[in-house]
Amino acid sequence: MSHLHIPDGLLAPFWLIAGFVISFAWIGLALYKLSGADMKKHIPKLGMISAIALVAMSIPLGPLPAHLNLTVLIGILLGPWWGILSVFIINLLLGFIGHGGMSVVGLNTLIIGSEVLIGYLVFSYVRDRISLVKAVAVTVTLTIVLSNSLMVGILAISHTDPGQLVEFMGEDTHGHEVSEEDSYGASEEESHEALTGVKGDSASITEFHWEDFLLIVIPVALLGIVLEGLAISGILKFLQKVRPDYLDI
Amino acid sequence: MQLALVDFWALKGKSVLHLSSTKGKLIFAFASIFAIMITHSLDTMFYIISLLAILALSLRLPLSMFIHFLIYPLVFAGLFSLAITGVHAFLIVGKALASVLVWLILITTTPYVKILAELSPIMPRILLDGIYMTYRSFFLLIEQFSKFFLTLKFKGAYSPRRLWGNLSGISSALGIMLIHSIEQAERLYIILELRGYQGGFRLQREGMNAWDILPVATGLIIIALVVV
Repeated sequence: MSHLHIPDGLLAPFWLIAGFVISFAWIGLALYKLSGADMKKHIPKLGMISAIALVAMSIPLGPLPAHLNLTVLIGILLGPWWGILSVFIINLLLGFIGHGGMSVVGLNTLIIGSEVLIGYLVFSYVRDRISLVKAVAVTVTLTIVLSNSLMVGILAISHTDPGQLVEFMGEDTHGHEVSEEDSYGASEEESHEALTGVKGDSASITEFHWEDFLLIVIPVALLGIVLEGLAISGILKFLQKVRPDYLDI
Repeated sequence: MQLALVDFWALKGKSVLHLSSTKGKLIFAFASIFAIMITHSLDTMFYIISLLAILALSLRLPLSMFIHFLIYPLVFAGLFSLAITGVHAFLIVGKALASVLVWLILITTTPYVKILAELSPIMPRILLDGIYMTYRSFFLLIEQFSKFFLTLKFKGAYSPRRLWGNLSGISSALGIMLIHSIEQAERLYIILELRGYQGGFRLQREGMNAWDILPVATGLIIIALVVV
C-alpha cells in the first residue's frame, strides 16, 4: 500500500540515485549475510513467495484500484535478508509493467523493504504474546503506518513539487530557457509567468497541496491496514491449521 | 493474468521490433526513459507520446492488453496530480503514460529471459536466479490461481462490486496457493539437487543486428526532441 506509484521524471535525480545507493547497500549486506546459504533450498522458495506477492498485486480487490502487497507475509515467511531480495525482485518486475516508475525502484525497495523488516521484527516479538489475529493486526498497523510515513517523508524531503523542479531546471513548461533578466524587476505574477510561461499568480499555478495529498494518502493507508490485516490473518490462520511448521521464525 | 499474454506476444509477435536484438531495445528503453525524466515541456511530452504510440501500434498487438497496463499508472498519476494545480498535472500524467509505453514496448517484444541475459553481467547471480525463479513461478501460480478464481466466481465468492466478500475468497485462495507453492518449491529443491545446481542459471546473450536501427533511431529521436 505504501508502494510509490510515481512515474519516472517526477523526483529529482539526487533522490533517485540516493534510493538506489541505499537499497543496493542493503541488498549487498543481505548477500553478505546469505553467502553461506544453500541456494538450491532457498532460491525456489524466494521465487515462489515473490511470485505469490506478484499474483496478489495483480488482483483487483473490487471497485477500487487497490491491491494487496503481502509484504508482511514475505517478512514472516522469508525473513529480513531473503525478504529484501524478494522486494527488489518484485519492484523490478513491477517497474517493467509501469507499476511505479523504473527510476523509483530503489526508493520503493527501501519503503517496501522497511515493511518486510518491521513486519518480521514486530511479528517475531508479538506472536507468542498475543493471539495470531491480534499479532497480525499489531504488525500490519505498525508496519503500514511506519512505511507510509517513510513514503511521505521521502516525498517531502525530495521536494516533490513540479514547480520547484521547473525552476531548478531553469525552464518553463514550453522548454524555453529562462534568464534572470526575464524576471528582474518584474512583479510576482510576471516573474512567475516568465518562469512557467503561464499567466496568473504563483499560488494557483505551480503549487503542490500537501493537505490534499495527505487527504488522499491517509484514507488509502487506513484502508490498506484493514485489507492487509484481514488478508494476512486469513492466510496465516489457514497456515497455522494446515502447515504450522511454515510459521517457525 | 495479462502478464501471461505479454509473455506470449513477446515470443510469438511478428514486427520489426520483435526481430531487433535485446541490446537495441534496451538502448531505446533507457534513452527514452532518460528523455522522459529530464523533459519539463508539455509540447515535447506530447510528441514523445505520439511517437511511442505509433511504435506501439506498429507492433500489431491487442490494444486491450496495452489499455490494461495503462490503467493503474494513469489512475495513480491522476491521483497524484489532483494535489497539483496547473499544467504540471498534465505533465505528470504524460510522464506516466510515456514511461509505461516504453516498458510495454520492451516487454511485449522481448522475452524476459533475454532481458535477464543482458542484465547478467551487472547483477549478482543470486538476484538473477531469484528473478528467473520468480518469473517461472509466476506463470505456474497464475495458472493455478486462474482455476481457483474461476471456482470462486462459480460459487459466488467473487464479484467486481464486493470488496469484503472478495477479500475473504481471495485470502483463502492465496492461502491454499501458498501451501502448494511452498511444496512445489521443496520439490524443485530436490530436482535442482539432482541436477547439480550450485547457483547461476546460464543465460545466453545475443549480439546486435540490422533491425536494431528502428529502436536505436527512435531512442535517439526522442532524446533529440528533448535536448534540441
